[in-house]
Order: sequence, then C-alpha cells, then structure tokens
Amino acid sequence: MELWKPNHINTTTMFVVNSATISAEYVMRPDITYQYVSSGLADDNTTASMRINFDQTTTVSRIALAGLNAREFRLFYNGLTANAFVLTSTGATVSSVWNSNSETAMALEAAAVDCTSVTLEMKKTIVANSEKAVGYFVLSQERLTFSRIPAAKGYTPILNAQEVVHTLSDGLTRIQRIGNFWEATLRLDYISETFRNQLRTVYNLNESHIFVPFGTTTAWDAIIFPCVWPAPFNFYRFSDNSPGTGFEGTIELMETTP
Amino acid sequence: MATPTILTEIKRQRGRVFRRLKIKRRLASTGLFETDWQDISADVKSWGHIQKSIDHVRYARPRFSDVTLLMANDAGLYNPEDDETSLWAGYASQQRTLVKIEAGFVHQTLSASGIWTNTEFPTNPTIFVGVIQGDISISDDNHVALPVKPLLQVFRDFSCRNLTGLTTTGMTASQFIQTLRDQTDGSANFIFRPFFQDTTTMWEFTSSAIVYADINSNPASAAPSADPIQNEFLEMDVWEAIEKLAEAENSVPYITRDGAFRFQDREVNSITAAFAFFGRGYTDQDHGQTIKKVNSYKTKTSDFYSRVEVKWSPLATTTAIVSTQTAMTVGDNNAWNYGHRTFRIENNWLATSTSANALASSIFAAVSAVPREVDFATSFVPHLEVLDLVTLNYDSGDSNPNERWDLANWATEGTQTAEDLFWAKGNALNFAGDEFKLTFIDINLDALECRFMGLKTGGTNFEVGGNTVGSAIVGDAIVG
Repeated sequence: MELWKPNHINTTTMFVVNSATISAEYVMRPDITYQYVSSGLADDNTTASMRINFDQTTTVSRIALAGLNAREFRLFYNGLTANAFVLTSTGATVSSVWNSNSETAMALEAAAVDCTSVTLEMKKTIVANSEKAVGYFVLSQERLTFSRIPAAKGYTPILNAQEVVHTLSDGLTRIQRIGNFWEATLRLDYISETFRNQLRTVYNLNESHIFVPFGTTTAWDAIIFPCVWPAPFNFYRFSDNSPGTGFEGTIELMETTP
Repeated sequence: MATPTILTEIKRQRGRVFRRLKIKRRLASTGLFETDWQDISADVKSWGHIQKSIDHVRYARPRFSDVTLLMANDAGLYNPEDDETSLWAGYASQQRTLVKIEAGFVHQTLSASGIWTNTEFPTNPTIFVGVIQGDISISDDNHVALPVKPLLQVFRDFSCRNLTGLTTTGMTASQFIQTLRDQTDGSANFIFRPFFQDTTTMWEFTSSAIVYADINSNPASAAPSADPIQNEFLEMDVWEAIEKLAEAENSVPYITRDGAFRFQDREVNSITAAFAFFGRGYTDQDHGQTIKKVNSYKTKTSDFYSRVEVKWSPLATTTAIVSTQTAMTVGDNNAWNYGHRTFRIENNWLATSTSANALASSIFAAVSAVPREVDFATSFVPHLEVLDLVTLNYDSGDSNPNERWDLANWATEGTQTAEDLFWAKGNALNFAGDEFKLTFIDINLDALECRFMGLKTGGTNFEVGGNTVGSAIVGDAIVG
C-alpha cells in the first residue's frame, strides 16, 4: 500500500505522439473509458509511440498503466530504447519490455531513474492488428510505503458516483450519472511513532497524492486514484493504555482532479 | 442492441451525461479570440440554469437569462488578468471572454480489442454560448461567480451610431442584419462575427421587403416624415434596434442553443414534432418516460386581447393609430367572456398605415385567441429549442376520460341506461399526443432537469370564440 507523488504527466504540452494527438491528453485521466487510441496503426507491424517530455530532470520510480490493450510494448527513458526501467516488482519481466503481455492494467515499481523523458512504445496488440490504446498512464515516485496496512475491516474503498436520480411522474426512477470517483477510508491501529510521524509529514504537505492500495503487475484491480487527505489528522491517539503499544487513527482519502 | 441515438440515451434508465465549460480568451495584442477553446470544466462547482423564452411574459419580447457559474478559485485561476496566477494573465480583460457550455449524453462501448468508444448526443452538444460580462468578485470562500450573459449582449454593447454601412435612404430588416453580420472596424476586423464562430452561416435570416427609413445614417434624419425625434435609431444600442425591427416585422430575434443569431417569424421551427414527451399513464419504447411533473396547465386568459392598437406615427392625426378589434357583443365570444383588453404597440419605424394595419392584424391573430399553456418538468432533455413543436402524452388518472356532459340526463339510481348520465371520475389532465409550441426552456445543469412551457397548437382547445381573425375590424382609427 503506497502513496505516490502526483502524476508527472500533467500538461498536454508534454506529449509527443506519432498519431492521434488530440486523444493523448486522455491518459492523464483516471477514467479509463477515455483512452489514447492511435490512428491508422491497426497493424502489429506498426508502432504507436508516446513520448512524455519533462521540462526538467525528473525522478521516476513508479509507473502505472491502465486501459491498455498492448501485447508487445516497452517503456524507456531519455529517448533510447536501451534505457529500459529495471523493475523491482514481481512480474513477467524484470525490465520494462513486454513481448506477450495479456494484462490490461499494471502498477510497476522500478529502480529510480532521473530522466528528461519517458517513452511508451506499443507495437502488437492483445487482439492482433488493433489500434493501440492506453487509458491511464502514470509516471511518479513513491511518497510513502505503508509499513503497516489496515486490517480488512479497517479498509473501505468505495467507488462513488456523482449522479442525479429523477423520480418520474409515475414514481419510477431514472438515473443520470455524471462520473465516478473513488473514496477510501483506512483505519490503522498500533502503528509506530516513526510511521505516525511519516504520516504527519505526508499530511502536512499541501499536495495531492496518488493512492495505490495494492499495486501489482498481474491481475491488478486497477484501483489507483489521485487524492487529497482532508482534516483531521488523528493519529495521536494511543491504541491502548500503554503508550508503547503505538498509535491509531483514520485516513480518509478523496479523489481529486488529476 | 439498438443503434444509439439521442432518443435511446434520453430514455436510458441509467445513462451517463457530460457537462463541459469552455472559454476563449482574447489576445492582448489583437483583441481577437484565441484559436482553441480552453476546457475549464474541472473547476466548476455549480453550473446554474440556462433559461430563455419567447413571448412568455409579453408578446414580442424574447428573454434570455444570465448564467452564473461558480468556479473553484483555490489557485487564483479566476483572479483578474493582471494577476500572474490568472488564466487570463497575458491576455486581454476577462470581460467579453467567449463562453460555451456543452452538455448531453455519452454512449460508451468497449470493443473486443480493448478500445472504448464514446459517442456523444446530441451531435452538436452546445447548449449555450455567451460572454463574461459583469463584476467578478473574489472572496476568501475560494470560489468565484463568473457572470455570463447570453450572446445578444454583444449587440447591447455596441451603439448604432458606431455602425458603418448605413444609408440615408433606409434599409430592410434583412439588409440591416446583413450589415451587422459584415460589420468591421474599418480595418477588416469583424465586430460581431467573431462571437458567432467567425462565420456567416451562424446568421440565419430571410430576405425581407419593407424598407425602414428610420435605419438611417443621417444624424439629422427625421424619418418618417415630420418625425419630431431626430434619428432615434442612432441613439439606440444595436439590440434595441433589432428588437424594434422585430416588433415592426412581427418577427423574433434570438440566439439558438449553439450560438447562431436567428431572425425569424414565430411559427414553429418545423411542423414535425421535435420530441414527444411521455409521462404518467403512458409508455413509449422510442422516447421513454421523461415527464417528472406537470406543474400547471391553464387557459392563459392574461394573454388574451380583444383589441390591438399600433401607433405608427407620432403625429396627432386621425390615422396615427390603427387598430384591429373584436366586436363587443353579448354572447359566447372571447370579448364578452374575458372582457375588453387592449394590446398597444408604439413603433414609429412603420412607414405607412398599410404596414401598420398588417402588423395589427398579425398580432391580433395571435393574441385574440386564448391559448392553453402547459408547464412541465422533465429529466434531462438538452436538445430542444424555443419554437420547437413537441407532443405531450400524460394521463393523470386511470378512469374513463370520456365526457358525457350534456349528452344525457341524470339517471335514477338503479334504473340507469346507456343513454343516461352517470357518475364517472374524469381526468384532471389527459394529453394524448397533444401538440405544443415551446415558448420557455429552463435547463438546470446541476440537477440535470429541464422545465418547459408551451402553447397548445391546433385542436379545439385553441379557442378564438365567436370572433375569427377574418371577421375582425381592421383599420379602426382612433383620433389623437
């Protein structure tokens, strides 16, 4: 369970794509129903390329891909295909090169790299000869790895929705949904003073985070969302009568704009 | 699965909708709009209402309400243009920024190849175009209310005395609208056209014949003859002139939902119904049920006039005012039933008593009938326009609605026959495909609810009483 820094991909001027420029910005949205979809590249012998240029050297150690349909693809930095990321998360590959992928989403941990650009190159697709697509693309860095995770009853992720419920004239109901958004409640018990202070440091930041509860490279549930942590910070409460048992409190995370 | 259309999305039990707010700022260097729309939807906290009406409060008065958008301003994006954090930093003033609101439905499908397709309805999702105009206050609430006025504001902000291309002999209505469309600052920069997508196709009007001598470039012009007001036209703003012209032509000027300027008669946009509303008691596989509530249905006697007077000349002569009226006779006619009421118009742009008489007759035809007006609320139906023809289907109860009054006698209990009048519950409301012309539209973008008002067209409910237009008295002049 981790909190990542905000997505380094945050403006449309960062993108260099070899087709379908207009839809490139969709990869900044967590909503994977809006994807970057290549144009005129529905052939496994062609490559769709998306390069993200940073305006300054940026550290990348966490990568997420969702809404992906690529079978053969790779990630590399600074424009050189040889510069693959060294993956530290367990998965099908230890470098960021996939030849027969079947996953539509993956959260990757990599050895930190200081770079000026990251490129996603997609060649073959899971269903052969399709346009290449990716819905959500995150380049980031870990902010906090939870040294203790909540018990099952203390972890409540909720996919909420902004929607309007119409009661029609005969009493029936019609729902019009504007969008989905995630919320999560994390209750932590018996945490150490060190971890509490780490949480306080994160809480004190005037920044948003990306919450990745159980990121993995295979069969990932793709729960990942940019979030803010509203008040209060309540981890100064002791878990038991003895101060040495640690502290307890609750984190509420609410999805925010990417 | 049926091919998605606007109808399939409106009736969908759980559908997805979208709302977008876009702006175009003006470049500080040229005053012209930037090329691309900027999407600022993510900062909207409250969308407010879009409201417009024609002939709703008073005949010949289109009304367009302002839209107030509440924006999150945590980062100061909506601060004035001289603040470097502002979205307008480096651009011209926030005022007169072009604003576009898009809303509609999105139909989403996932293909076997893992690609989502998002099809939006209506095809042109623009439902409002306007300009930021008014005071923009910043507070420690970290939000800003952006005041947005409908696009007609650009006409209000321009004086007729600044128009070029006028003549000293007058213009027809269509020539005047064309003059506005092609108006430049003298350096080939269009004045109004940039607000209308920089194209002539967003100006919809038909050729007209009557020449209005008052639309005149001569400051000393006193047309029509002996008019004591020296060129009243040049003292007007352009919207006032358009309204005056519309009144003289018995036409309607308005801005369509996608931002076109339209100058047309007040007939329905198409004789084919643009949408069919269904409510309690009805189901329909094509349209679904959309009516949430019928707020009211009434005979709008307040819109009835038994006499129309048009004062077309300021001179104190016997022919300065022409009128059309219903004969006041005792009987089952509107004048007797509803009382004498006079609708007065003063429009000195009419050059002759002939055209004044024609106008009086046209107005009389509209106001001497007593319309039935319906007011109802629906789920989100974003694609309709004022003057669209729609049909209503609504049954407030489930009893037999057949009217038997005056067809038979009350029966004695136990001896009732088919010919006898017997007690049956009637319906308060029973519309079965009844046609209405929309005169009022309100779209609540927060609640995704629409409210419509419409006048019933055709049928026996559209009563003219004992006085048809053809039997009206035309040219009944009043002295003084």
